[in-house]
Amino acid sequence: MALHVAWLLLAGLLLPQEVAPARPEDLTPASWNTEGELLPAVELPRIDGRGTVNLGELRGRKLLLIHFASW
Amino acid sequence: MPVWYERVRPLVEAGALQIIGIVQEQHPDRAQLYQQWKGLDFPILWDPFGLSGVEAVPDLTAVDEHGVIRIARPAPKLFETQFMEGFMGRSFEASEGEPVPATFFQVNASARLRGDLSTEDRARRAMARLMLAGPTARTIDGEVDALASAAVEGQPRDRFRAGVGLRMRFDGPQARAADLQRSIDAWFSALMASPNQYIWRRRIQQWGPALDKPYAFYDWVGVARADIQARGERPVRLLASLSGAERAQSSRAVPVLRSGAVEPDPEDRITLDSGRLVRLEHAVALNTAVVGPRIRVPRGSLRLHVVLRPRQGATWPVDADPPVLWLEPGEGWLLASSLVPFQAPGVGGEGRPLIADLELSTPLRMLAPPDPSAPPPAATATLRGYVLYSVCEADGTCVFRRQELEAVVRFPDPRRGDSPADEAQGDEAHGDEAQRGETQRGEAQRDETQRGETQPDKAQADGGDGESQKGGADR
Repeated sequence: MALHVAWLLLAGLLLPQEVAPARPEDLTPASWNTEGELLPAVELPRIDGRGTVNLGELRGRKLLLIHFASW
Repeated sequence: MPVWYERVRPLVEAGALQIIGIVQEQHPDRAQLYQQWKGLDFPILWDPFGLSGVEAVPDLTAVDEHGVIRIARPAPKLFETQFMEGFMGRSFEASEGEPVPATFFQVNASARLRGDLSTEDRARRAMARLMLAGPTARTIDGEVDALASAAVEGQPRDRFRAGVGLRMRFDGPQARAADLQRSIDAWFSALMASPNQYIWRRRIQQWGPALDKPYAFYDWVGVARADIQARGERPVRLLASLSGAERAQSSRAVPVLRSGAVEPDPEDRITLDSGRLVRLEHAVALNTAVVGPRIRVPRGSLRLHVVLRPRQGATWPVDADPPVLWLEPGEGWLLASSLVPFQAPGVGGEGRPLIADLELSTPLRMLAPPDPSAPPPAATATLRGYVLYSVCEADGTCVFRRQELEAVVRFPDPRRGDSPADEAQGDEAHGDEAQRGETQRGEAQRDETQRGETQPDKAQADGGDGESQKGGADR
């Protein structure tokens, strides 16, 4: 049993650590604009280079999401 | 500061509301300058590849404290009742079972994808890496290749994304001669397939003719810089200078030829630079009226971009006039002036690419499906001219040179609904290869002190004349 667990741990170390996220094709407007649905967990960089924000982690406060352009 | 932001800011400061902005612009630094100018202190995210799928802006979404979308696209006229009272004025119950949101694009994880990846995953990684590193990404050639591969058999959005990658490389140190044209072609190809995708249409219009513009895109930049400097702050520096297309006012008028332009080298006396010192690039952006069922202008128009990119070791002399473009478009074309100055390199810009762009009205031609029995309009036209510039070699020797310009304009066939991208050319059509085979013509070399034919006004690198018309939905 102990050997089995050790193999599992070793396999965990050797396997790729990154899990491929869902495909971009899944990002349809409905995912972002359907009332009653959960806002998807999307991680995008900030325009000021100060890291990234994952929308799925913004809980606990109400959120106003605004898509806009400076043009 | 926008009125709506003033209204909700107390809620943000009280901790009851958070705001996240998302922009799909090609250049995030422009949105960052706007953010600095307007004092927008909420995070703004960058989605240049359109991963959100949002096709038009502005677009607002109100999400409750549990992550549930409560109002999609709140009506501006109902802001007080719908948003302030109906959304902010109440608490929402949590759903049972702690629902987990679907995980979509994760930029950091996608950038680290390894191994034998599918075409889609290579494209996903490319988008992530380009979003994190921008035009200076060390691996940008591989990322652009990945996006181009995904676009070959992919959806229209894959073609749009390939165009975004190509435009990024154009803005960086690894630019290739045809990057700008290929990006415009890729966007056109995507728009041909999805003519209602307004973000894509805007991306083309940004570098297209003023006849095609709903409004000036970045005319606010000059005012913003002045306001920010007046506050004692340093404005965000823009990576890519604004071209005339981006700051041009929208117009319904075709260019009117102004008299007085004197051809600077009518007898071909200036020595040719066969591309050894400066790489000449060009790109053509057609009016997007050629896409879709509506005809908005009685004649076609386009914007021609000409880029002079110094080779390794070559620099622009700071004390010389900027380069000039002379264009002889031929019968049926209209343009404001055949003589167009390039942007001045400016102090510190001795090694940067210089851009000139101008608008032309094409000869009258069909923009709608013609009578099936009628012959199709000409598919191509060629614009000819030349550029003159002073350039310094690595040893400090400065010379005055000429390069010939030959830009092929490819019109889509309105009966087939194809796009310029379907006949997109490789690098050779827009730069290096076109310059091969040209010979030095043996005329006496002139340095910049021997000129005197032209004294073009210095082109503004950036800036504009007033505040943009904002507030209307960009749909």
